[in-house]
Amino acid sequence: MRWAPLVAITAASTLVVCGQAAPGFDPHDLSGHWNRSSRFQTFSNVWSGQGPTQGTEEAPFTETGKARFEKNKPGYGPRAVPPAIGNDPMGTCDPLGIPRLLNTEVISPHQTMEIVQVPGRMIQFFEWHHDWREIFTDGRKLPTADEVEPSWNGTSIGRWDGDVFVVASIGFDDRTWLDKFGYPHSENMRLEERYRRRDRDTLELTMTLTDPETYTRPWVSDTKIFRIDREKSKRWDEQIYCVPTEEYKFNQRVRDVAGGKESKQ
Amino acid sequence: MTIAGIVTEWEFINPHPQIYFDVKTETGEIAHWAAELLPTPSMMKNMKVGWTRATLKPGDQIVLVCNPPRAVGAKACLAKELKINGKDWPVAPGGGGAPGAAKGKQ
Repeated sequence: MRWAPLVAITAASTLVVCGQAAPGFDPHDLSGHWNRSSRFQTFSNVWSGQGPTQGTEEAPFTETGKARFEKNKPGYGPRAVPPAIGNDPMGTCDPLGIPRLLNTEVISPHQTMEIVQVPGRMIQFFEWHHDWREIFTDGRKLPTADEVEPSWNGTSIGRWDGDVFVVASIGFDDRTWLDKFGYPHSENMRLEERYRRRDRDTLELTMTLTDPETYTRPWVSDTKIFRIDREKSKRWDEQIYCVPTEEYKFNQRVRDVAGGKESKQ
Repeated sequence: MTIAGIVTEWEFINPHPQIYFDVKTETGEIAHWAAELLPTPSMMKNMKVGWTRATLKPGDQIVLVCNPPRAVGAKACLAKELKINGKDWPVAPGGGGAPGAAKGKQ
């Protein structure tokens, strides 16, 4: 981390800071804990999303994509149903996968991802589930779909395009949702993430997914904004796992009861 | 909604702690209820007001202010305020105050 010198003058034996340059930063250093600060917890601010709709549009579904969307019953958003009768993978502690983990949708202070850069790899750690993901930066080529099995977080390589870190991924397990509103994807989804450190404290992310089976054209996310959290690494790890046995018990005794299903208490 | 009962079980677990309690109905029957608290256990520990796995025990008397359940007649709710054996306990970070503090200070 580079720091610009402070501009100071000495007057009457007193050091006076009369101006302070913006602290410097290395645009190729994305390491640190990052908290989502942008509003939308979904892949994109689609028309059915939260908040203003200006400049937004519904996802460009294919017929197949629309049918899969209708089968997904989220607990959030305009199509929300009581979680007791929904089918959000989160409700059974199933992995959220990429790109849903990047939405960092779990409420503060858990909407965090940590980026660690090591030779040949960039690693993202996500608070929820204690999940993590590798992005290879050693120059290898992205494999073909036939060379990898679909996986929760996909298979990813990264490279620098100027000051933008570009991640290309394939091989996603289609059981995951793009976000908490239940947008689907197929195993053939390709995802491009573009990260840019706007300043010392701010990271931007824009994603483009290409999935002709589900969407008629590439679908671009809203720009996710993350703010650095320098206090996070000083605190004890919270270990926010989703524990299946605990979740199952909770679902039976609280979620389903609140949703009007028969009491299991 | 405000509801009073007797604790039967306290689960101080992720992602959200849960209280199970019995409520005596107008007809004298016992109804089994559940309440969920929104913060995680570690968030509640960080409130430094004494939240632990032993804060509640079977037999404790509680009074809850809850968001009502979505389903009419369901016996589960999200707790917004909690009184244990006559003392207020903050259930949200930033609420401030120690157990037993005046309600207005939480």
